[in-house]
Amino acid sequence: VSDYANGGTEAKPIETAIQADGHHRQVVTIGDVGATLELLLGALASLPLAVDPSTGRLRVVLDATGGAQTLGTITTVATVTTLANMAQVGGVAANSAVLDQMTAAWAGALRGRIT
Amino acid sequence: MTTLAFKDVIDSPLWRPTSPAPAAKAAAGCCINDARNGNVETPFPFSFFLDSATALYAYLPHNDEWLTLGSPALAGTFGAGAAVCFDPSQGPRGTIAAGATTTTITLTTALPAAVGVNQLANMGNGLGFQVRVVDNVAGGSGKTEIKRVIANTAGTTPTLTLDSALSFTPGTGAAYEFRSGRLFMLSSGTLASGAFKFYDVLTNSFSASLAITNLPASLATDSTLLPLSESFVPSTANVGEGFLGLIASGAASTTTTVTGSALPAGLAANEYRNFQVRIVTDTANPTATGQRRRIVSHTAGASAVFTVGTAWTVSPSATAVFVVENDDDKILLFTAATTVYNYNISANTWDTTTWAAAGTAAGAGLSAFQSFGVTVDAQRNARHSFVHRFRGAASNTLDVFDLAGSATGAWTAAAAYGGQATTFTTGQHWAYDPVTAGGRYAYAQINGTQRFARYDALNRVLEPWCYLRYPQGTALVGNTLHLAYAIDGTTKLGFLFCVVESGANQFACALQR
Repeated sequence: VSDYANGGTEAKPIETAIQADGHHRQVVTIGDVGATLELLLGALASLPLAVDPSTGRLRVVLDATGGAQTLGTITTVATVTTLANMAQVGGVAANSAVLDQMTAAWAGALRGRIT
Repeated sequence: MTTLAFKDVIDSPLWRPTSPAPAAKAAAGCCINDARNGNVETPFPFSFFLDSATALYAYLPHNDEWLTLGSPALAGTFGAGAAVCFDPSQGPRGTIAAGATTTTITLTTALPAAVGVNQLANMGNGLGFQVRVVDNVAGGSGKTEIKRVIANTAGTTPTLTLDSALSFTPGTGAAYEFRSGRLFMLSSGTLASGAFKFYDVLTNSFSASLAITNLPASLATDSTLLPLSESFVPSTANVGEGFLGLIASGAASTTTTVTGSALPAGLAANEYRNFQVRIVTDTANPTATGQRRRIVSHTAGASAVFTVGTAWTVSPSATAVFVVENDDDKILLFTAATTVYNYNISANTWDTTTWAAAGTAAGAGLSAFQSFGVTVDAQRNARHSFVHRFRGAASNTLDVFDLAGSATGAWTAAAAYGGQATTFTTGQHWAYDPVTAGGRYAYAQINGTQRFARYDALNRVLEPWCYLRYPQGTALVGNTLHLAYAIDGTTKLGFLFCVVESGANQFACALQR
């Protein structure tokens, strides 16, 4: 409902009536209200967050459309089922841990056989 | 002296990481190393990695690091079909100026590019390049010796100081041959002038465009360049002494023959047809020394007579010493087509008539190598003249091309071998080790995966090699396996290197058994 007298948003006047307080008010149907609410709910549904009704926790979609994301501190990661790729740890190439192990394995197992 | 004490089963082979390549392997990126066995001639210590038409790198295992060598600026569209080979006996050659001593020589024939002072006294491993001096002038000694450069002046005609004295004083006009090697590079796509060049190791320079006439109009599938270097010898032989050692003439030569003595009694007739005779020493006819001639036929046995295709310029004397080697002037190109392309180095020409065509075309995963490192078996079933071509094209087929099988060689299609089942296609890479384990094995990365195998060229058996526990990227054409050797006297340990597919990481595995 738009309130012209109090500076409300202008809308296309469909029908107005003078009320007892002397103000003109737009007359709308209940069906219009329902349509507007559906639009609002639709907009909310497209937002990347929702409340899990069972836990009350807010679920957030971090990256539904791709692209880099930056997170702050993560205190605990309980389980990572698959880590598709990890480039660096503390600025060092993440695969260096694997490569260093391979170097150590060769040095420990085979280098001593060459004297 | 280094001692190797690897125990079978207990000390199984294991890959270890090395310095990654400067750039990720691109399609057709390919590596190669010097395959000399280190006896007499020291192999060039770097391996090469051609990763594009404009990117050439060198890897030094001594220091585990790479070096950029600049752009060869190859024409064509670099991709499937591109190939490299390292020919260790190629390098600047020419004549020596007057005034040589037993320890210093000055070049008359200019090098292809100027060198800096003492640049020739360090190949990268602290050792100088080696130069062969052939005293083949009238009144000369008729000898051939090899020395290492320990100092040089700058320019294109430097004065060289040698590491020890020659047993003769080279005459004016005596020949020099640097044993530094050249990297031949072939691009792909629609071939155009500039698609084939070499990198000259000695002078760190690229050649002008080499001939491409008689090559296919385009290359779009795996290719293999195979040099027939005279420096390729059996694992137990000395470089410079060929496949049969130094051979004393057993009789006077004619204009087209030379006769051997004390050769293996089992030497088969024409076993080394299409190889070369090179006169190493001829004190009686010094101007005969250094001549190379292609063998068109030879008889069998200890006193075989070798007939050459082109008459001697100067017939060797009855006391000449000669060797039988690969025909040093040839590089073969195997492609997906049946044709075997032949490059004549000194003439800078390609032809398709020197060698017989294969019966069946090859495809992606194609590779070919010459089993020059083996020791010939009692039945002479495994010969130095055999080129083993794995056909690729998603097949497990081995074709054997006998360079000496006829005037143009002879193919044996679909030769049987043990362990035959694995098929070879894109990403299949091979590296032949002629130096260790009796020169028997060619190592294979199976279709760009983490799995490896090796093929015993002496006994024709494929056996598994060491699994690499590091993932590969997308399989690519282009052979990025290469080898290096730790050599300490008679102890030699090979290392197989693998630049991973579609990546830069490189791994090495000791060839310990």
